[in-house]
Amino acid sequence: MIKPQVLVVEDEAIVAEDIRRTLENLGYAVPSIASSGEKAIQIIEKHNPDLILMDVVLQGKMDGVETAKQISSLFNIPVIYLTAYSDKTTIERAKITDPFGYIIKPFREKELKMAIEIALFKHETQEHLKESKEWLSTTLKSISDAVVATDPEGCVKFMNPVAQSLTGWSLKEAQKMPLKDVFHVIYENTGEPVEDFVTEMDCKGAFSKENQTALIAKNKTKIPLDICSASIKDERGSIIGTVMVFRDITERKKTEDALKESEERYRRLVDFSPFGISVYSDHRIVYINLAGAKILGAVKPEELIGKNIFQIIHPEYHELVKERIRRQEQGEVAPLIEEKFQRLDGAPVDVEITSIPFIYKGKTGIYGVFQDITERKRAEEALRLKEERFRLLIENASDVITILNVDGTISYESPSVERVLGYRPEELIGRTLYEYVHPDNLADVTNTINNLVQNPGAARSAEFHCMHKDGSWRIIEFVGKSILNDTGANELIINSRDITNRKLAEERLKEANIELIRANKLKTQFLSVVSHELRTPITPMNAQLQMILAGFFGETTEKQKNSLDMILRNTKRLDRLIGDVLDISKLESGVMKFNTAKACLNEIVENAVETMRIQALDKNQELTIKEDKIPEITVDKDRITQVVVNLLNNAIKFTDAGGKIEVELSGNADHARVEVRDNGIGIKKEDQERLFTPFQQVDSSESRKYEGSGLGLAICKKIVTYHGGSIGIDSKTGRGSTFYFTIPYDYRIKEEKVDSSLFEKIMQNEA
Amino acid sequence: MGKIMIVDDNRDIAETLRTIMEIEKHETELASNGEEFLSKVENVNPDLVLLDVMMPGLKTKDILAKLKEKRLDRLRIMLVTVVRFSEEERKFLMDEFKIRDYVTKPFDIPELVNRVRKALL
Repeated sequence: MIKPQVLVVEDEAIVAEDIRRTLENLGYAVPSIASSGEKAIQIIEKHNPDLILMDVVLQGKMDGVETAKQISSLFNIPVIYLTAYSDKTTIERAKITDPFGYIIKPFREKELKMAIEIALFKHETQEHLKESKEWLSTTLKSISDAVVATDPEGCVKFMNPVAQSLTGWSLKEAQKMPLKDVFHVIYENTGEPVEDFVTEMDCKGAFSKENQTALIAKNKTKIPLDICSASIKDERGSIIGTVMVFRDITERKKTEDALKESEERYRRLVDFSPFGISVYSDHRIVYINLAGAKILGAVKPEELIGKNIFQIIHPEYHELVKERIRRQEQGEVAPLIEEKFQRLDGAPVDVEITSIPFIYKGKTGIYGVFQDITERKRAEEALRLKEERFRLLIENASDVITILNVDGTISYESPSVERVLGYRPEELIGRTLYEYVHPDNLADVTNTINNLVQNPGAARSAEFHCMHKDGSWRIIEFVGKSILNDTGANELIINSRDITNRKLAEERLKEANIELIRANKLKTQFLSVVSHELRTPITPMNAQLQMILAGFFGETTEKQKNSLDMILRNTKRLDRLIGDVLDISKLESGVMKFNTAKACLNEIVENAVETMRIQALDKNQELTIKEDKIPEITVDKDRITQVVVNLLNNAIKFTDAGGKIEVELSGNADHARVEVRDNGIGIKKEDQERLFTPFQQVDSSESRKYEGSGLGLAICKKIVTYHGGSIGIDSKTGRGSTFYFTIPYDYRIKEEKVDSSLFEKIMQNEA
Repeated sequence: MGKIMIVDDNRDIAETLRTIMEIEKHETELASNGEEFLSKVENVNPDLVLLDVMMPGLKTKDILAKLKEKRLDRLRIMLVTVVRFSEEERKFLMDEFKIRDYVTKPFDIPELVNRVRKALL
């Protein structure tokens, strides 16, 4: 054990030596003796003693009290005064230096030892306390939490720097002020002030989450706080104050809010995802979103929470899913697969699902995303059926369906090819179409195929002779179209059929047609001969009658004259009939020869009117003409004249004596129009249509009194139509009729293949 | 008055025409076909021939061609036909064979007479 070292400061050497001896006897070490204040300080610096025995009265500049004062300011060493004087003034002076003891000389050894021991102990205790205070103060200063303590009266006793800066109050300002005035805390949700920190907190000395608090600082800013508080009690348990530890949670709150917002956002994403999203752990559904619930036939997700997943997986898939879960529990991610679920009502539902394992509450959880693919499956099935139907259609079609690559290679051939060309489809696939095409048609087929390739989407057709398996040539007609196939390449779909028989039939038809044309010609020739033969006997009959009536052969009686008139009239009628029959048959068989040339329609109409004027005069009818100047038109002058004459003839015939007939020739931008109007008997609407068909005279007893072949208008219609015009009637029974026809100015008359040699034949006695 | 030669294979028509021509105070001579006509025409030397078209035997075209060969420039020919010629055909006949006119059968006597008178002018 180390002896405590004691410095003795005594200016009287004997006394000092005596004290040293006493001290050493008492078990202390005395390293040195100082005879003055100055010396004492020098020795202290050198030896650093544990205690100083100081004589109050010292020689020199400093007495004992002064020296102790200096020591106290320079060193931390307890001082005990020794003095023979105990006067009041000295003691008062000594007191100021806060000595550890005071011994009056003369003293006893025991007294000295006690004083020394007390001083050493007191010093040691004081050191401990000081150290402890230092530690506490440093701790409070350095922690990031704010600390406020109150005295028993609830006034602020202590605030650490953090508390000061947070509240805006310095300790100096706040000390002794009521806590409420300095530390103004409110509940954030209500705005109410916190009255009593201790009683309003829960048992753990903190506010619950719902009761979030905030500090109103001195400058009125609001700071969210986390507060803990506790009562300070003395050893007897009486409350001597409250300590509050609090912290600014602005940043934490911000982070928390951001986290909350982010979580909310993701939760919404999941909750309202159009995909079904579920989490299951231990084979139990722990989460499912709304879409997922709907897929499974639930109204709310809650209906499914806690259910075993095998209740919602279709039994067919249980084994598969078990295997998948086993693998997922080993960390595998399941690929997107098609699976079948079972709805709450038991109905199966096709889904597509992908799932990944993750840690859920310390266990393996599985996160699944799925969608209802019932519709898609249905559409796929419908498409498959449609394809099947088209396949059946193609395979059972009587036409041959071929798919060609652009180079002519056959990539598909429908089964009907065997029926048509004798080859089985597999014999043709891979070969080129050109191998089977007749050399004469090769260029044509190649052109068509190239054309198809160059014009995607366009259809082209061709005919060619194709080699049958039996070596014969069949005539094939095909229609092709180029399309993009599923790989994006161009290919040709060809639809072909055997038209050999049709061609033969066409050939026969053509022959039959030629025969028909020949027969028609024969008919015309026959009619021509017949008309000649018929006209020949009429000619002398007609001439003889004229001569008798003219009185060349003597007088005739009135009765004879009437009779002869009747015969003459009928020979004339017979002649006209023959002429009309000949015309219509020539027009209908297309052998009528038209001689077209530029002509003046005004002239034609005027001449026709003049020709018919005598007949009109005979019936005392007024015949007038009104005309515009019409440009020259290419027409058959004789035939157009025939039309006008015919219309006029009808008008005169079917209009009573004294009637009125008007001819009007007008022209517009593209055609001329001739109208013949009368105020005769008119024609019923229902009869108007058939006027222009051959041998149709308005059939009534009325018409019997008007002779005619019934061919005139049919002939007119043929002639007008030949010129590109139209003919018609506008009439009401009893209100007269207007017949009209039009002739376009620039109609290109078709050069019909007519028997232009008819004249020739007549001249050669053949017709 | 003139001398008219009537060529027609139909006897009745020929006689009828002769009657009409005689009423018109013309001298007449008949032939019943092309051959007979051609053999007689130079001797008869008519002022006008009424020539039927489409007689058996020699064809009208050949008759006309042969007449052209004979260079009987003064001879006036009028065709009597059942066929109505078109403008074009009429023009052709006039230019090629110096045909004066034609009448269609059956004919209207005043018209025939007029045409014959005109042809003889």
